[in-house]
Amino acid sequence: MTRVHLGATPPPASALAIATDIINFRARTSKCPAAVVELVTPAYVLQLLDPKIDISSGPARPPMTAPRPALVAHLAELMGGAKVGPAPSIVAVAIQSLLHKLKSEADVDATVALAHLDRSKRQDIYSLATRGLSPAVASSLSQDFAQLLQTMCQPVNDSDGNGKMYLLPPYGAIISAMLNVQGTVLGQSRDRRGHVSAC
Amino acid sequence: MLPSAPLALLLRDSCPQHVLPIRTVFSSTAETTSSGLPLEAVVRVNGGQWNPFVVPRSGAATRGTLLEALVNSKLFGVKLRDVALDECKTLVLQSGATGKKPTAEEEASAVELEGAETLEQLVTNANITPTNGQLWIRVLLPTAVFPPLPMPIHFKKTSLRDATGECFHVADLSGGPFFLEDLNYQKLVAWALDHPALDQYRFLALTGPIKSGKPAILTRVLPGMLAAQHAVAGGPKLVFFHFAFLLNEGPEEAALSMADSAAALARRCGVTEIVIPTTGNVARAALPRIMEELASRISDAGGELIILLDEVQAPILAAPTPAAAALFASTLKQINSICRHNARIAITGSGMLSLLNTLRTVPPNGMHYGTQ
Repeated sequence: MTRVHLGATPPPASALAIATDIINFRARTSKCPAAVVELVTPAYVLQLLDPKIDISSGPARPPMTAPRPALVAHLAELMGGAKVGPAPSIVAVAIQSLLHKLKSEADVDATVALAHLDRSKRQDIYSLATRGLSPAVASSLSQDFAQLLQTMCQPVNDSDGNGKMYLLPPYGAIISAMLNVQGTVLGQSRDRRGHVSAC
Repeated sequence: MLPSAPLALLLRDSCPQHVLPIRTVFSSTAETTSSGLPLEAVVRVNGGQWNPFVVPRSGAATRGTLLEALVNSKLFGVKLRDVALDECKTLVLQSGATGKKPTAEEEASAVELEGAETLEQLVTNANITPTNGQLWIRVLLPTAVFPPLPMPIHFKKTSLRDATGECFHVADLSGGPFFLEDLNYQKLVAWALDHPALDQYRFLALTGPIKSGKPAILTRVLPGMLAAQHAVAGGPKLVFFHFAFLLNEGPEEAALSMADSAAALARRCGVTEIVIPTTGNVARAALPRIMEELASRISDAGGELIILLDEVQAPILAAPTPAAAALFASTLKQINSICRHNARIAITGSGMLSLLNTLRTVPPNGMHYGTQ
C-alpha cells in the first residue's frame, strides 16, 4: 500500500502565495458582494486559519484550523458563495460553518479511534495532542503506533528551534477535549444502532 | 409469421436435397407442436463453453425468441440477464463442428440470424448442414462501451517550497488552482504510471485530516492524471468505478450499495454477468468476488478498472462492534488482494486514524479481539 499523507501546512511564504492564487481565483469567479471581496484578502484568510500553538507555558490549546490549501479553498468557497449581507457577517457565518463541519466529522472519528486504543496509548495521544511529541518520546513508542501517529502529525519548531510533532488540526483540539491526562475518555455514547459518537 | 406447419413438411417442400439430414433430426427429436418443433442445438454465449440447448418452438424461432429462451434457461440465463438483447448477435455456424467443438475456421463460417428471420428460413437460405443433427449457435454479447475518459490534468512545478523544502506542483482544476507537495506528487505519478515493477503502488491510500484535499485528489486529480498518462502511453482503456460510502451506513448496507454500483457500472459498460446479492451480509462476503468479476470482465474487453473509494471510514465508524469494523476492513484487503492483477485501487476517508487503526489490527484470519 502506498500512503499519501495530506494536510500539512506550508511554510508561511508558500502559504501566502498559495492563498493568494486561490483567493484571486475565487474573487474572479464568484458573484459575492464587493465588500466581501475587499475584506477577504489572502492575509485576512490566513489570519483566520492560522494556528496559535502556545507551547511556552502551561497546557497548550491546539488549533482547530490551519492555513493549509484545502482549508483556504473551502473557506474562500463558503465566503464566495454568499450573495447578500454585510461582509463581517458573511465571514462570521463562514467560519462558524467551517468549524462546525470540522468538529462534527472529527468528533465521531476521534471517538471511535480512542475507543479502539488502550489506556497507555490514549495517554500518549493526549500528550501528543496537548504538548506535542518530542523525538525522544517518539522513539519510545511502538513502531506501529508511531507510524500511525505520523500519518496525522506535522513537525513544528518551537521558539528555541526544537522540532516537535503535532497532530494536524483539528485532531489536537478534538482529542485534547475528549481525554484527560489519565487517558480516560470524557464522553461517548452509542445510538440505537450501536454507533459511537461524542457526547 | 411462419405458417404453423410441422417443420418436416416445410422442408419437404422447400429444401434442397442436401439438407435432408435436418429433417431427420428434427422429426426424431421432439413432438410436433402447432408452432413448430423443438430443435437440438449446441450454444455458446460469448467466451463460455458450448452446451446443448433445446430451442422451443423452433419452427417460429426468431433471433428474439431464441434469446429469450436462453435468458430463461438456468445455464445461459446468468450471462444474459439484464443484457440489452437487441444488441446481441446470434450466429449459426454453417458447417457445424467436425470435432467436439468448432474450430476457429468453422466458427468463421457463421451466418447471422437477423430481424424476423426464423431458424428454419436461415437453415434453408444459407444451406446450413447440421453436424450430428445439431445446429451450432453462438451468441455474442454487446461490445463493451466504456465511458469517455475525463479531461487530462497536467501539473507544473512552482517555485514555492513545501514543509520539507521541496517544490510544490500546481494544476488548474475547474474549482481553482490545486497544489500538491513534491513527495505526494511523486507518489501519485508513480501510481498513475503503474510501472509493473512497482506492484505495491497499485493500492493507494490517501490519508489526512478533514479538509485536506482528499476527495479532490480521488475524484478529479487522479482520474485527470491517469487520463493524461493514457493519452501519452496508450494501453487499456481506463474505466473508473467511483464509489463514496455514506456516513452512518454500516458495513452490510455499505457492501450492498457498493455491489449494486459495481453491477450498474458493468451494465453501463456492457460487461454484465454480475449477480448481485440481496442481503447485506451476503453482499459483504461476496464483495471481493463481485469486484474481481467486474475487473476481469473489463480487462477481457480491453479495459482496466480503476477503483476509487471515498469515505471508506464511514462503514468502519458506523460498524456496531469493533469485530464488524475489522471484518469490513478485511473485506477491503481482500478486494485489493484479488483485484490487484487487473485493477488499481485508491481509497480515502476523512480522519483516517480509526480506519488505519482498524486496517492495521486485522489479523490474518479476519477475527478481531479488540485492544481494550
